[in-house]
Amino acid sequence: MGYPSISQYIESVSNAFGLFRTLGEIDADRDLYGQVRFTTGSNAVIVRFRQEGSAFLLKCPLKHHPHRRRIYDYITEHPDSLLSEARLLPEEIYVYDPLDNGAYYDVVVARWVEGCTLEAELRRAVRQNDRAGLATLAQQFDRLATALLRREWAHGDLKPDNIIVTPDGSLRLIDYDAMFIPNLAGERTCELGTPPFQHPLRDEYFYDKHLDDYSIALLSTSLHALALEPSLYGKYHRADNLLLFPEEILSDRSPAYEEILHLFLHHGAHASYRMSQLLRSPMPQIDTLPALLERMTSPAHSSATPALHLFEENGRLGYRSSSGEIVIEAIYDDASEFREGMAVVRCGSHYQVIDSGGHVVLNGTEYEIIKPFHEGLAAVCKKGRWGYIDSKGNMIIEPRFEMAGNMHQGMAVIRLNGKYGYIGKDGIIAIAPKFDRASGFRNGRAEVEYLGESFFINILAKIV
Amino acid sequence: MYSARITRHNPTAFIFLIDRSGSMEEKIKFGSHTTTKAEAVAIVTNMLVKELINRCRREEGIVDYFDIAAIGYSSGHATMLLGGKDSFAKPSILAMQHCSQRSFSRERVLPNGHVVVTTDELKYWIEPKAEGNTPMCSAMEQALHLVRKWCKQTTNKASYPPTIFNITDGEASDGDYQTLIRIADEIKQQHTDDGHTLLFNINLSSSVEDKPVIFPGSKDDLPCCRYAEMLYEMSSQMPEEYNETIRHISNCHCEPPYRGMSFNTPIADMIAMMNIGSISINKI
Repeated sequence: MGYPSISQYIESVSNAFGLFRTLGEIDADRDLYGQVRFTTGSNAVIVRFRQEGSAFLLKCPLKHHPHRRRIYDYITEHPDSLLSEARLLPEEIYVYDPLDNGAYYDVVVARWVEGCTLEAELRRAVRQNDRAGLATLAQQFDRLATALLRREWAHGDLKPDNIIVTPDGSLRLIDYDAMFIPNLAGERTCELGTPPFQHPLRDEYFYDKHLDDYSIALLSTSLHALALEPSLYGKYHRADNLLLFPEEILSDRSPAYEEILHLFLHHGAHASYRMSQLLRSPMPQIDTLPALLERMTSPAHSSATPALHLFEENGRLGYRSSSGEIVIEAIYDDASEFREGMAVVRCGSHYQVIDSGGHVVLNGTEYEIIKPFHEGLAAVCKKGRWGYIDSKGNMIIEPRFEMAGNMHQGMAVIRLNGKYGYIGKDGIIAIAPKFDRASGFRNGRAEVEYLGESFFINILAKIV
Repeated sequence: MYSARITRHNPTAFIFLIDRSGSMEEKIKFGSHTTTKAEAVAIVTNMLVKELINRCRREEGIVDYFDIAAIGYSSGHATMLLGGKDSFAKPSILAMQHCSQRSFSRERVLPNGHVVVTTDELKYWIEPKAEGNTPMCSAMEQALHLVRKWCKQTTNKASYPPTIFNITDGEASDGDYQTLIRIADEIKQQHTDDGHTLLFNINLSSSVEDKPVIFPGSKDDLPCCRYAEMLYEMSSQMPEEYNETIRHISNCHCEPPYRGMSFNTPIADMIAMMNIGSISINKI
């Protein structure tokens, strides 16, 4: 069966007397010229109207949807704080075709949700460089997503235009045509969401409660990235996306994605980094997403926890507390145990020093290697030469050595001109480099080798 | 194929070729009214233009999901009726364009049986006209030029392919059947990665005695008439994505593939054909 055109619907809304079966007369919003105001989605024409002092949304479908009635019946029977009240009124509006023949059509009526779309709110926040506001939006979205993933239904078309930011700052979902509900398990869908927010492999057969997985990962990634760097919006936002295009991510053609990864790493945003890694998922369903979001939204997530231990997941390293709770996500290629409250981690060739909250203490982009801290100093290699930095990243001993060991008992092994010696924390060479081999000091003595002979010396270079 | 999503970066194109020859002055039934074929075609095409613009209406304003062109042909010329001399018009521009408006008063029979009179206004981007001969070949050549240029644009490479409606009530005065078929074939060869241009030919009839043929499956469904056969040859074989909707209105009781043409078409079927032909607007 064909559906009316937008004009045909608007004609009936404009001259509503006698044309609504149960709604009676509606007071549709009009412009200055008295014309009914409307907007169009891909599937419907939408009019706001008032009745008995309340505002409602009237949605008139423009194309057939085999599951529409069941979806809205489900919403009516299962009120949910994430959704607005909405119901389908079957054969409600009488519409005339160009040849003056009339027929009834279904409509959806929903309580109007005051607020603005997440899209509009993001534009405002970016324009005002409101980083705090953007961070709040990101956190609110993560909470919404956590709650959504606990549901037995899925929205199916998550994107900033379908999320309303209410005056109290909470988020509400709108536009339910792409929803999955439990009653529809095993069926196919004709609604595939909006491509820039969907996994490229999403198709009509992928229709279950995991429908929102990829969109959630993409939106969380994008929102947290904007909170750190609002200028990404101007750089990567196009008319139809937020910052990213999934097809580009999955074919390694996304400069935006690379920049976001680097941004998260630079700021020690390990959880968001982990979230962004999920965007490379080969499938739309992402099983690790709920647990990651739960950790991101749990109050304990941001507090520093002592006694962290390395753990490995999928070839990457992170840190867990003694009780096994993940504190720092497994995103690192290499990582040291915590010493003196800090750990040295590496992602690719990017070294960082982090604290036990995962916060970046030092971004070692200029160093090829950073060794763990010992006695307040860490050996670093820069342009092939070794020196030492303190915990604030200050260069204490300039890089000039061919090799540098860890500080033990105030001294560290160094190599200069092919010979080993010892340097003190003040940068002054304590024992001149003349040995062929040397170990670090333990209990006041170190083993060295000179002219083929091994023996122990003390910190004054005396044989002991 | 024929599945590309329509976005602002990948719009689709519609071209209306409108016969404005003298014979379009003949009267035709339009619902409960009688009007000229020229006026009826103008109403229907302007309604479709309005619908295309309405489909583009978003919170932030009009988004240009379509490129729209109209070419009228009469009195030896083919004339661009929308946009520039050689180009498509955008919905955002058409929405703001000053052009004449017509008010239509209609008697509406309400569901409860009462009768009310409503007034509706329709903007006329395309004015009705009926004079002179039928230079259909010139119009087709112009459409070919437009669609070839459109398909060659790299930004349209992945777009849903163009749709062309040729609405006429008679034979061309500026070319023979072979010429028209040749030009039509060239039009149909223009393509994007999502498919070939779809060319619909709609032949209007003012006589209620003529038996219409809507979306025939083969030439066997046509009356014995060379003109009908020519329209058949000119028209696109419809992609299978359209079969389901065509099945509801085709009166040929045949199996697909269908041809995108109609012969001796009353206005109601012309509207249905154009609705089917513009089904791509649901791919926004």
